[in-house]
Amino acid sequence: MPADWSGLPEQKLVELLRGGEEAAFEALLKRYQGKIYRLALSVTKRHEDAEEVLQDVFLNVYRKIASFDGRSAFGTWLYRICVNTALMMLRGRDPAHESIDAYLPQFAGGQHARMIADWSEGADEVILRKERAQIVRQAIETLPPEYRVVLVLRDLEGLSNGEVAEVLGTSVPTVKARLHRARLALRGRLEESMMELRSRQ
Amino acid sequence: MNLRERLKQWVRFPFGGKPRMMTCEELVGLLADYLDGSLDHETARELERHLDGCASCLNFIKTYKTTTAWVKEITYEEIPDEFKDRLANFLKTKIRQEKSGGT
Repeated sequence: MPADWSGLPEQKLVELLRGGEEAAFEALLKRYQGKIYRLALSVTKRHEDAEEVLQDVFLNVYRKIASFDGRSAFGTWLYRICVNTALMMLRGRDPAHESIDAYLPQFAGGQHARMIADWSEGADEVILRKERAQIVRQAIETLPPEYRVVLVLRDLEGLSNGEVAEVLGTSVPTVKARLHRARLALRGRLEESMMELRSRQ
Repeated sequence: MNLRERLKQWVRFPFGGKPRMMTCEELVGLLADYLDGSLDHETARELERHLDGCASCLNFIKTYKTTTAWVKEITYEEIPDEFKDRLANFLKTKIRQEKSGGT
């Protein structure tokens, strides 16, 4: 029986794995498979794809652990492998997304092109929380993958702008700009759904 | 008011009335920085001045914040147990193959 190393700090586990200890691999797998699954699922949107991504990711971790230089945290490195694998899988397969431009705010002469209402007020009376979560999830799924990834890492996984930039191999200003556009587009979609629900009442 | 002062006044307020206000479009562009507190004090004050007189922008901020709050509430489903078992078996088999020099 391999030793139970589930309680060891991550850095120690990584060291042990580099030394060829397979039990350390198992401990890291257990620690991260849930997070990596969520991330893979949110990018690919399909269970079968998420499963395939997970297999590739952890196999790559095992194979490439020697090249992990420890400059970033192990988790960041793992997220990066996951995002790259998932995006690669979608490439050329994901149906063309409608441009997010249609859901960005419209202006005329610098002013809002039309009056903006606060559709969030009293939302609980218009829609059940469970249904609302469904609408939000669908709205996220319609975002192009590069926007979806930023939103998921930032708002769902709780990474900082700097960590997201590291995962995506890009700059903090790029992450901030992309996150802002993702939120603007989501806001536009939710506005459409909420206004429609309100008009039906 | 002497001529010099009137000129200064005209430069600041070219068309009489008020100093040039931030537009709605500019405000929306600055929103992310404003909300995470990274906007400089002066620009933030200007943004707030715009908000005082613009119901649409006020509602825009509210719904922008709500959007983020609702996103943060979502939970993705947990990894299924049978999925974990399949993954562990897949990896064990692969690693064993690689160790024995197979493919």
